[in-house]
Amino acid sequence: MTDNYLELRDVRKRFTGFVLNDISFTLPKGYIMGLIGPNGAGKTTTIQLILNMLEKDAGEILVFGGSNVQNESRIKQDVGVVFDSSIYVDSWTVEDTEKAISIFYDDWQHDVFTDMVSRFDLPHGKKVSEFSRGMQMKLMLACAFSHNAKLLILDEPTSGLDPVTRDELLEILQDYIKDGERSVLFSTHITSDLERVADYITFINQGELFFTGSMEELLGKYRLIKGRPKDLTVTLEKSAIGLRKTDVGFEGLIGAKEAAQYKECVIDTATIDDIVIKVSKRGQRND
Amino acid sequence: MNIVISNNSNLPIYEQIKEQVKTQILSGELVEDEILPSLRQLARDLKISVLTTTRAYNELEQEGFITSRQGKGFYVMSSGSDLIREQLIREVENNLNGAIRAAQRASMSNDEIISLLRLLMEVEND
Amino acid sequence: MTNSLKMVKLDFFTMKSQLASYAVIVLFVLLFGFMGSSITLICINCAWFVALMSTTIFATQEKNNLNRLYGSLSLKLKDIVLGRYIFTVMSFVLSFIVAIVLFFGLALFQGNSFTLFDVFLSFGVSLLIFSAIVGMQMPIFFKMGYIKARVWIFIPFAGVIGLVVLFGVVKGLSGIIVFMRSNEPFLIICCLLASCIIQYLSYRVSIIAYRKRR
Repeated sequence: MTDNYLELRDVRKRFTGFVLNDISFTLPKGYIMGLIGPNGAGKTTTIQLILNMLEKDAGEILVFGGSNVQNESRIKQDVGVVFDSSIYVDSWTVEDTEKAISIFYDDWQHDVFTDMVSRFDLPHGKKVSEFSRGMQMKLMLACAFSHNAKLLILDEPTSGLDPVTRDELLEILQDYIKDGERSVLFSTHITSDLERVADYITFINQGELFFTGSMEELLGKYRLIKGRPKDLTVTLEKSAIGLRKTDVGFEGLIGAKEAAQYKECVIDTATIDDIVIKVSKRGQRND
Repeated sequence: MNIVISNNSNLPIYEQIKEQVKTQILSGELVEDEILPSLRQLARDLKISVLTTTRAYNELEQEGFITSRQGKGFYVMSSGSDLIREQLIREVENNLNGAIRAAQRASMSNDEIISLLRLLMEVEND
Repeated sequence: MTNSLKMVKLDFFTMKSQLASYAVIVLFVLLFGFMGSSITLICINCAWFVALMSTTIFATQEKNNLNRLYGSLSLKLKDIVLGRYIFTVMSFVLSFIVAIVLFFGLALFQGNSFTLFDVFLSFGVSLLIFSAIVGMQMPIFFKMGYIKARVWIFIPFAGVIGLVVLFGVVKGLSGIIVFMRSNEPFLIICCLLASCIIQYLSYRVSIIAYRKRR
């Protein structure tokens, strides 16, 4: 058994009008990785490629050390998936869902499922279509936990959820990785969820890999630079990312090492949101 | 072990953990050979990432305050409180040197410096 | 193979709530039965009705975005397609059994009788018609998904009905029918064989069509 639960190497996928290009990252066992980026950046596509719901044009995807295509059936016994909306049939109840899903798992644990259903307060006898968003997410989570999954993949699980439920989910995920033998890949555009809890971050922007590494590395790599209009030198204007100029000043993202030389400007730590926003604006015309 | 994290602090979270562990070793709240919470348990309790607690513990270990025993976890080192005391004394030295230099620039005499020091210590003790 | 069977079970669970719509078959049988139709004719009518109904699982799949569910389970492309084919044929067989049982009851009530051979013949012919329609439908649905494919499904229907009319009308071809009529065991075997071949070919095409969709 390998130490890297998920490994992507130069993965490529082309659609008309969008290309996912040379995406590579690694998720070791026992950690949480956040997959971030603006909407339409390619996060969901990446997850679909990992699950072999889409065929990749190039590159390799290894799950638990083996090819995600060759070992697909075996891999999926140990992978749990949660999407941003219910993946089950509308007319199913909690019981129907268990009956239908448990067929596919050698290691289905009815006790765990029942326990989670009662912990989450999921109603019996009610159709999934009548569940709230939060309950739908919890049902998917209950199923994912009930077959001893070692890798949990969540695609925007918190969109549309209230802060209380989002917090609950983060606690659940931290509990999940407590034994060091399980990993989580969590794609979201609500980055505040990840800010403290994620160990690793992969940032995809417009189909390109902008960054992959530890959260600390990312936050340490960039700074927000702000200053008066006259402090905006030519070099700074060129190297700043997502520069925003107004009559009273400017603001942008810059490499931490570079930031040191601009002594007249204010240098602030950049939050993940700052980084995502500024990087998404890169390549757009600045006014 | 008690740890309280502030999001508004200028110190990164792993530094805050280190500081608080060192303070508790010095004050005796954490005793020699006491076992610390595991990396993952601490991360879970503080709702922070495992890599953050890992960094804090690794640096504390490198600096000699705690030690890890294979398969068992992290323990407070016996020399912990001496080391911290040494570190703090060095900090006092540095600060005093800085103060002396500033005083010289302000053309203060040695006596003036010492009485100012005495006055400040009295205020601190109140 | 077992994964395909799991897919069949999943399809049954998926359609569980729509079981009632198949009950229309009961009405069908009773209606035609009272009208005095032969068992064969009734079964033929059931065949195209069930063939039509068999597209609703594609509709449910699309409406509930079940591709994501399939993606999360240990299901390969082959399992999904093969499972769907098996499910569809099983739906037909079950409907056929229900129709026969009803017809039997009706026959008792009306004082008619029919032989076991009639049953076999009806099964053979209706299976063939069912397979012909479904064989053409499935690849279209796999390739285009329910909403887009819906427009095109009239082609299989028109095609099969056209063929039936053709066989009935064209002089030379009706000779074949007379021959077949007098050699009914042969006819039954031909029907079964033809059904198998059609289903298998359709299955191969569906695999290619579904793969292209990804």
